[in-house]
Amino acid sequence: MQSSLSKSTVSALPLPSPSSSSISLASPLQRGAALPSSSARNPISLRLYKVLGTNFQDPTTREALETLSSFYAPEIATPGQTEVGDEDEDEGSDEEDGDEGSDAQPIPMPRNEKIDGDIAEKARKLFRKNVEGRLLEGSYKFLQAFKEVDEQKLDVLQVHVKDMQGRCDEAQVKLQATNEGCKYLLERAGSLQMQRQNTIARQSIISAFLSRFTLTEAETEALTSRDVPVGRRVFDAMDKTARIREDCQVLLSGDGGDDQAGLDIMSMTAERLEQGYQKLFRWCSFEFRQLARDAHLDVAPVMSEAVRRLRQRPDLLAEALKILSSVRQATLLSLFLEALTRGGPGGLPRPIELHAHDPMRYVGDMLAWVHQAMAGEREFLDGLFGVKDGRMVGSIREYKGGEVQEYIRALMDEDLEKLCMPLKVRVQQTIKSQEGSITSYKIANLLQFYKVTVQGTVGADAILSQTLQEATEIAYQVFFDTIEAQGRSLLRFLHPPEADLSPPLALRDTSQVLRDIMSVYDSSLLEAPAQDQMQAQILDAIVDPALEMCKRMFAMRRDGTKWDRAVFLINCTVFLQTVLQPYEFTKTHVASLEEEVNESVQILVDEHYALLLQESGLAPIIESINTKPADRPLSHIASADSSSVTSALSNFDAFLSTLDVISSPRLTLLSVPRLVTKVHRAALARIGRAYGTVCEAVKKAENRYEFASTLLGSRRPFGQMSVLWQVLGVDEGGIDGVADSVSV
Amino acid sequence: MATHSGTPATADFSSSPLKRTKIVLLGDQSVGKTSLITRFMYDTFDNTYQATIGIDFLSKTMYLEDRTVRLQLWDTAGQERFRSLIPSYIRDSSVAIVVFDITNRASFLSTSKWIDDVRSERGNDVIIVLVGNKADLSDKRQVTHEEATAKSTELGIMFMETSAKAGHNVKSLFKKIAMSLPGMEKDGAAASGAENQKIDVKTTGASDVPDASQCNC
Repeated sequence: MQSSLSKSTVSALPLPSPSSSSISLASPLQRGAALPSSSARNPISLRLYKVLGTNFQDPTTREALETLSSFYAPEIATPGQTEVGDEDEDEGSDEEDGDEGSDAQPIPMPRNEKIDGDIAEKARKLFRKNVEGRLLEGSYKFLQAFKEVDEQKLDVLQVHVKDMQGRCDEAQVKLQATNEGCKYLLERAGSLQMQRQNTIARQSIISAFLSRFTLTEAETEALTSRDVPVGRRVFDAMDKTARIREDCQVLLSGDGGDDQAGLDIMSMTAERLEQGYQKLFRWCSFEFRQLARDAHLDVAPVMSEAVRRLRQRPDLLAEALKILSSVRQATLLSLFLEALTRGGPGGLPRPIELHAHDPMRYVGDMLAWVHQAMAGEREFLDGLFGVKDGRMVGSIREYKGGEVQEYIRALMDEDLEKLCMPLKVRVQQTIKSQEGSITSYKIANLLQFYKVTVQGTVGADAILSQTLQEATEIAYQVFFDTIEAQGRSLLRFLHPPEADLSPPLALRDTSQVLRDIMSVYDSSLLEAPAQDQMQAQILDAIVDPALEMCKRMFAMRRDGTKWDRAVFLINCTVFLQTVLQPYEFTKTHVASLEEEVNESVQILVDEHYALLLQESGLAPIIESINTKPADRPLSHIASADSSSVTSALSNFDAFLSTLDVISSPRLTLLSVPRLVTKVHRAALARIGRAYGTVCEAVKKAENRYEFASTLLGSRRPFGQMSVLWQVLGVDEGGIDGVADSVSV
Repeated sequence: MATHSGTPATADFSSSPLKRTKIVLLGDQSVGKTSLITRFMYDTFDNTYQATIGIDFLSKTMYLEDRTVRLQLWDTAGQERFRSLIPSYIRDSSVAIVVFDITNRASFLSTSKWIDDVRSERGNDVIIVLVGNKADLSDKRQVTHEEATAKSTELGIMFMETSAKAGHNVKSLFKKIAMSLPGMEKDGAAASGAENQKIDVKTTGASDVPDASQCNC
């Protein structure tokens, strides 16, 4: 500060003028007076302006000045110092010393005037010294203070520091020692931590393994304890056990080192699983025994699930099912017997045996009961094995095969087995107690219908189907026995035919039986093809003895002519034909009877012709023509000479005039007008041809008839065939057909 | 795995077995007995007519609000030649549906015969429902609704008009029958409860029903 002040003074002085130095030292009043007069460009004035323009109002300057003022308290002049401060201020750019100088200038001025001017002067002169002195004094005080510090406190401090250092070293050593000591522990802790982590990981792996490969206590309990009911919990436990085994199998199949755990798990789970199956088995067996009460009980889902699972253990399932089937057998049997003898509660439905007097109803009721029992069993078993019967109503049930179907088939068979005996016995009794053949035939039909119906559900090999088959056979057997017996009795009690050669009464009775049987057949419950064979057999069994009877009957007639026999047989056969005709299935029989008829018709035609020939008078001539030696003229034979021919032809004329071309009295016993006409016309046609033969013979030159044409022309039909055909009413073209075939 | 209580079960193991109800369908030939069953069972209709041969059976479970019933339907042949077999089936049925064809007066008249048959076999221990089928053919109607209603009232039986072809009223018919079956929900629950108490720990009766209702058997 000091140096800057002096420098500024030096630099300021020479610039304006050498004389101004005195002015600068003059009183501020003087200086101020001088300023306005000096030119504006004067550096001194510039500086003065600046000094004058300086503001001393800021607090720091103020404080500095205050301090200074205390320096020069009233005894010592302070204004002088202020003057000096002014000087300083001029030179200093913006230091607080400079500021205080410029500030002091306007204010202390009045004070200076009041205070002793002496002090100011002193101050001006001694300012530096005073300040320096003060500084010195201050420094000294500092020195004193620090000395004290140095001598006492620092030493103590040093001692303390030293002490501290000692302690620190000590601590350091201890720390190091501890560090050394801890290192092991840390390492150990670290490794332990690692181990712990590993262990946790292993633990989680193991617990995952355990949860995956072992059963929980609850699950084990579900499998083994009797207290846990068979249900979802048991099934879930079994599922899990099975899954464990599956997973374990996969693990064991890999190339693993230690298989022991796997093997343990396998054996453990095997045991548990087996226990589970045993439990299911026991439960099923128990439940199956409860199924005895109802004929139509549905299956609870839990049971069908249990059975589904038991299918994994066919032995157990088979055993359980054995129980089931024996229970069902007994149940169905007792229900059947109940239905037979007791009926429903309160009397309705009535017991089946109440209908025992009505064989069809009785057998029908029994069969329907069995059919319904079968339906119930089927449904029950479908439910038990979870099979859905997806067929449409009325469509044919078919055996699809497969494990389940096989179970069902076998069970159905066994369940219904016990019903078969009582059913068969009763059916058999009913059949055998029938007198007529019709009822046994109806029963046979009914049995056969049910056999077919039942077969659709239980299969043809089932005991029930077999039983019905046997029963059907028995029924048919009885039926055939009956009709055969009837046939035999027909042959045993023979009477000669009546004079009118009409079908005998026995044949009419047989036909009635035949008619009944055929109407039963026609309304048969079965489709036709199944029975055609049977029907043919039945027809044989009835028709053949009937015809035989007719033949034998006629044989009993002492005066029985060929003619009468033929008429009688035709009458009987055609009677049978008319009975058979309405039914489509008798075609072959009707045809074979037709042959019989034709045979007889042929006989009749021959006979009738022969007789007609006699009546016509042509017989001797024809005879002669047929028998004459080849080398003799016909006219030379006695029976065929001109006169004979003439008389024969006149006879023929007379014959024609009386001839009934429609019928003949001889044929009145033939009961079929159609055949009467047929026989008569066929015979007439042959008569016509005989006449033709005669004409030809007469016309032949070698027969040496004189006036052959006169001979023929004298009598009708004058040797003209067309005339004859007209008379006979026979169509010439149809002759052969009529004569040879008598088809309908 | 162990939480079996809350998980939705694939099969409802807690429901008790159902009692079966036998229903026999009667009526003349071609009135639509088989069609009614087909509509009820499979909700379809076959336009081609084929006479039923003999007697056939089918079953269906019905799930109603408060009960589940298993119906065993016996479809009989309407043809005369099978007529003699039918009383044996009526004998064991607790419900008889007597069907006629509203376009065929004769079939309506013969319902009397069928109803007599049912009464003579079962007395009053039977539910008889008179059903006028083919209601879709109303332009060929020969039997009025009023007439059939009057008859059913007189005989004390139920009456309903259905159309197996249009599917009209068929479900309601069987539902109505199921609802009028006497007290079977109590019977079934009590009987099975006694003998199956080991399984049915938490049987809740009807509340189990909706679970299994998608089961279409």
